[in-house]
Amino acid sequence: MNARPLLKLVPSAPWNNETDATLVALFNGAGLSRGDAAREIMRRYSPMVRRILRRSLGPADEVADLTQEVFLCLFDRVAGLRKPEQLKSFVISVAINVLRAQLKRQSVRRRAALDPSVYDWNDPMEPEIDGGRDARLAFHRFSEILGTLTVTDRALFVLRFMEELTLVEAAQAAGVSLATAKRRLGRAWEAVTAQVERDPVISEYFTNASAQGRQ
Amino acid sequence: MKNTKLTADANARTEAMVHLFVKRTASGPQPEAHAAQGVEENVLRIIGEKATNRRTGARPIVLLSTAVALAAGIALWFFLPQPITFVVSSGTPDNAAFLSVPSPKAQAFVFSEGSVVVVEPSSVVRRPLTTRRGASVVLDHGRLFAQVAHNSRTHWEFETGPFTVDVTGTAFGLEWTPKDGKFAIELREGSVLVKGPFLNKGVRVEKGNRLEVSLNDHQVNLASPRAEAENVGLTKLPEPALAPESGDTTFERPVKRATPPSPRTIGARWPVAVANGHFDDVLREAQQVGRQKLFSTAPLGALRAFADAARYRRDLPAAKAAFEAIRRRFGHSGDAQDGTFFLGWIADEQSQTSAAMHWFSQYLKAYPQGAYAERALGRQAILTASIKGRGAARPLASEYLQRFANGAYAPAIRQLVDARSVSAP
Repeated sequence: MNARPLLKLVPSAPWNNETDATLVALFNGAGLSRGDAAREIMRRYSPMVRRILRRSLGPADEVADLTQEVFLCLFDRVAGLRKPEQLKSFVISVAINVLRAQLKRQSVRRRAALDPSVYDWNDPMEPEIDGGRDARLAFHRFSEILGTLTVTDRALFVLRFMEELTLVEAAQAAGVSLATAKRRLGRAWEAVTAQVERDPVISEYFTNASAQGRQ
Repeated sequence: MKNTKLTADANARTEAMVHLFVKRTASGPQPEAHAAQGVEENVLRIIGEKATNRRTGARPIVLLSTAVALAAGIALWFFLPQPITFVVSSGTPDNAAFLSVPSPKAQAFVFSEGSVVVVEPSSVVRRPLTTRRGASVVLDHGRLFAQVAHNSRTHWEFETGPFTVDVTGTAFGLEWTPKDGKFAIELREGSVLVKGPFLNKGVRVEKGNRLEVSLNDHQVNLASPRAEAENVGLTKLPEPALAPESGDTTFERPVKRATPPSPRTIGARWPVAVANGHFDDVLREAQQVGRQKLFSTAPLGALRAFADAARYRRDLPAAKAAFEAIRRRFGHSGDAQDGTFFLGWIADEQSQTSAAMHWFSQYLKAYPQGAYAERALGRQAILTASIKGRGAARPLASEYLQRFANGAYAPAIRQLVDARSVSAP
């Protein structure tokens, strides 16, 4: 007769199956799961936070620092979150607030001429991954065009058209009413489109890439 | 998002740019990804420490330290001088990068600490960069008069062409004519240190002096009421000639000893200028350098930037010559690879179909996986169809569709393949 083992190793709980509300509850508790819950929240949302920051600021060194700031701020305030199931919206709105503060700091630095360029993507002479030099230059110009939008308009533009949030979610995250969000998004789209139309580099990119236009 | 006030084409272009942007920003650059790895551990450590501090009652100490640091910061803010600001007399928009002064009206920059820079008619200056201690003003061409308010910590810098003028408080007139390579500065008050070609470590110019440098004639003239005007680093030349009528001190430098700007410095800023859309600036500066010198001595980055600026401004012969120079001098570079495609593209634009097909074919043969392979193959298929008929173009068209099913030329090429009812000539 085989003796049954007294102890058996089992895998830890699969955190990726927990709902946001459970994670918030576990984090707010004083138990040993607090650290694991924080880790899972960051694993779940840090790619999105980094994307929003990168698309609004450029791939600057501070993206990692700001991501850290977002999560520190989030974990400071998450105890007061009334609807834990809306953790994602809360993360986005914290990210937007951190983004606003950063853009304000950059604006001050720019005025003091300490930081002349705030929307500086990679060197246009860097080797290209795909799409060729025209695509790279067009991308660079489009980044600059986005940089001309106001902070709120830029945040709304990124959330709605790049992160593909619903209008209601984008408005909530940016801290404006639905009507204001609609109006600002329309205005931002018009402004960006007008600049895209006028820009010779982007025009050249489309002219070259379009078979219809070439015929 | 479609906006009904805009044309469908305009909306489509913006959508395409958003798509390109989303695609390229989906993941960050290597340094960002690397830095992100440490974020999680940092956050966990900090929230762990905070929890411990809360339990051990360390919070009041942290709050007190923060309050002290905040008070010190506020005090420092009040004592430090504020950054200098300025207004333009013409009311030029704040975000304008250049101030171009039309004839006959001069314009002035009035700075918050009392300095004034008057830009004379037909001159162009760039938007000044200001700090707490001074500003940097770049005169592109023309003349300006500056009155810089003196202060023990003032530091102003004026740049024009290859010359820089260091200022600590003075009044002077500055002139630069890029076309003739002529620089001049005339001091009304104080003194300045001028650095640039032929001036070695720099020349100090004092009140009443006028310094002229002619790059084309290799001449340096220091006109002064005092013939023995101090110069701190002027090149020692064999036999300085004195202009007897005016009393000007004229130094002539033998042509063989002249040190023209190094080829490495040609167009150093052009790649950035092209990226920022300043194509005309690049073309104008290239004009000053001279085509022959540019194509035979300029570094690769400058040549490529010039080629792109010419291409964007539709100066196709200039772009062609630049790409030919890149291929000739930097045959193994990526830009030479691109150059092969663009020579085809330029020939195509100039309706030189055979030449275009030759270059596209060369490109595809040498770089079948190159960045422009899709465009080269697409155009080659379409050009072949127009010259030799659809039958001859079908193998190319099939290859294109096989390799680039969603390429920009795919709809047009599908028509070529599918139009079997049309007999090949």
